[in-house]
Amino acid sequence: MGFDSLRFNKGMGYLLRHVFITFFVVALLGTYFYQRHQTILNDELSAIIDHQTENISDVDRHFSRIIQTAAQDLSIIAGLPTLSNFLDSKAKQTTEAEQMFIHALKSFVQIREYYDQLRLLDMKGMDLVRVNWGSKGPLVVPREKLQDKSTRTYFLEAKKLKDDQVYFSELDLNIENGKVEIPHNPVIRLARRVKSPGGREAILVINIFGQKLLHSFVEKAEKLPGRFFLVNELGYYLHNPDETKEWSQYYEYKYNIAKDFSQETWEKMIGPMVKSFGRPEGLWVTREVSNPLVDPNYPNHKIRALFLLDQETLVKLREPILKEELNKFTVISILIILGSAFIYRLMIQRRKLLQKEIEAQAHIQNLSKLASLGTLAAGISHEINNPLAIIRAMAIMLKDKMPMQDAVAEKLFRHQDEAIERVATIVRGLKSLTGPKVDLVQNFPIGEVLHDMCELSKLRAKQSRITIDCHFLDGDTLVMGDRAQLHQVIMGLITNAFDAIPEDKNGTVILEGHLDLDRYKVVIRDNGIGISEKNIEKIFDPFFSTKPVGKGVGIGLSFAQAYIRAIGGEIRVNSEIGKGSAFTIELPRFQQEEKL
Amino acid sequence: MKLKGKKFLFIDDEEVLLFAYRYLVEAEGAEVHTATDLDSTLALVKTHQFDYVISDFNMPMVTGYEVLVKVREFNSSAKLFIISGTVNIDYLKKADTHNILSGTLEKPFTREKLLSLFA
Repeated sequence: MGFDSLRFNKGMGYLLRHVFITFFVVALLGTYFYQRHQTILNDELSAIIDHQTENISDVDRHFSRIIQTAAQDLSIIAGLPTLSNFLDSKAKQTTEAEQMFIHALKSFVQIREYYDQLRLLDMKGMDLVRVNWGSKGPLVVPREKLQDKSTRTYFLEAKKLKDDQVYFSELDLNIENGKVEIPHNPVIRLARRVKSPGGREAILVINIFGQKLLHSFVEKAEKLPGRFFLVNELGYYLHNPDETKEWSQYYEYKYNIAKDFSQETWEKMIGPMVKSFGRPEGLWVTREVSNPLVDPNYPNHKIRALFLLDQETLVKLREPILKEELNKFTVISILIILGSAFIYRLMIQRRKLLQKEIEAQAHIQNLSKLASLGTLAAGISHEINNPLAIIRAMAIMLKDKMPMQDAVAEKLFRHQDEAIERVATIVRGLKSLTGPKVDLVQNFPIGEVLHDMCELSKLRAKQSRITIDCHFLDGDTLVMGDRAQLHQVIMGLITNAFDAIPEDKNGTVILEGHLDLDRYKVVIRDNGIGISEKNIEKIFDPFFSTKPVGKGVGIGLSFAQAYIRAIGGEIRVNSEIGKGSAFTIELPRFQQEEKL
Repeated sequence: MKLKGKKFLFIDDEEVLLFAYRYLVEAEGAEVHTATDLDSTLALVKTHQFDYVISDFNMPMVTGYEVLVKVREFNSSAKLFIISGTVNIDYLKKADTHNILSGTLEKPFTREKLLSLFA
């Protein structure tokens, strides 16, 4: 019982250890895939940040280019001879000079996609010429629709300019009669004074189409995950993915960065350079976009580009990556667990095999112990029984020689004889170790014994150059007798086969078996030294042996024959000197009728 | 005097035992011869026809069984017995491959058991 429970604990220990190692590997793998997902996410995030940083810088460059182009266009138009001709002609009617100037303006509106209007005001603020961008192309506003702009900031500011200075307005909404124009039409105005050689002055104005400009800024940025904003100096939205928040400075409900996020976030953004920083709401990238041409003495109305990678977006980005890595992890884990289970099975099988081997070796040792015990018993019984026989015989003779009947002497002789019988009984007990016991009611499948014998022989053969070859059919045939005795007989024959092969020879021992009518034939064949004709008749005799003293007792084959005959079988031998021997055992098949 | 006129041959390497056999069997009126090895046995069986030949099992060089197999060649009508202190008697009967034994006797034997062999 102690042994069993020990083995059980050991088995559980192995299982636990195996499960623990597997779990450890899977956990390690889990950590690896989690780290991997984090790395992939970080790479993706930094790629997005890089792109948005680039986009934000693009916004700045784009803005500068457009402003510069517009400023250049102003000076080009200011220097056009058609402008001078137009200003100097005093005619009230449409003149050729006017037509030519309008044509020039039309071509600028046509070429520059961001121009909403080009106009020329006289020094009182009245429109002289105005070309709009219509739905399909440049559109000249008829004279009767020209307006008085004398009260507009840009007119008043432009009037104060020196010769080649340019006025830049803020990007804001067009207000008509004190009301915000709907739909929103944000505009940037550039203005400058022009003067003809004839001394006439006027103010040239370019309106830049704010909506188009803003759209070009956010077009690329909005293709990436996250939110992109453009705000003015106070943090009011010029662009917001949520359109209802745009231009709210003109309305009752005001939305800006400080209000939507926090004052702290807003304060962190202040400054001209590219900045990126984390806030509870997410990761920000921002930079100021400003007009490079503005006179340092004038207010520079700044635009700020903002990119926010918010928590929601982070979750959305993380989800597919995590899912993919989790899938990989799951598949590999399952493979590892299956592999581990397989390895565990192999290990268990190997351990069982090892256990079997150890048991088999113990069995062999036990058998040889039994054999030597048998030898010892045989020796002892001889050594004791012979003198005991002499003692008893002499006692008989002594008693006969007694001169007269004597009750006391009779009693003494009886005690002596009882003592002799006691010794004889003990020795008889020892002798039971050497003889076969026969029980014809028992039966068992022969294949089991042959299989055991084969395995045992293979174990034994490991220590020699002998090859064991086993092939037996009809293993489930039931044969009569005692399994242990048959074990002993076959093992004895195999041992003889081993002993018949010289140590320096590559020997083969073949164990065959098959059913032949109602007898099962077992053949043990070797390619050893063989048995001489002289000896072959005597090999089944009790105590006949060719083995050196101490190695064999000569009891094996006679025992084998005695046992096999006792169960109604037969044992035969064929042998040739130098070629080997074959022992055939014929075992009667167990018949159910015989039991009755 | 049940065994009067019968010819016995006892074979044993223990001369004291041969002396005891002789005493016990001659008391029944039999004619007793003894031998201590194979050669002296063969010399006797070649010249005598015995009614009973009884051999010890453990002999120098040979077993009693081998001796009896030889004896059978010359004394075909003799009843052959093995006396043994060594091996299990039942086993010896089964191991009688030449089918020559009429009986066996275990050592140490009593007078009654010895004589009952020849009854």
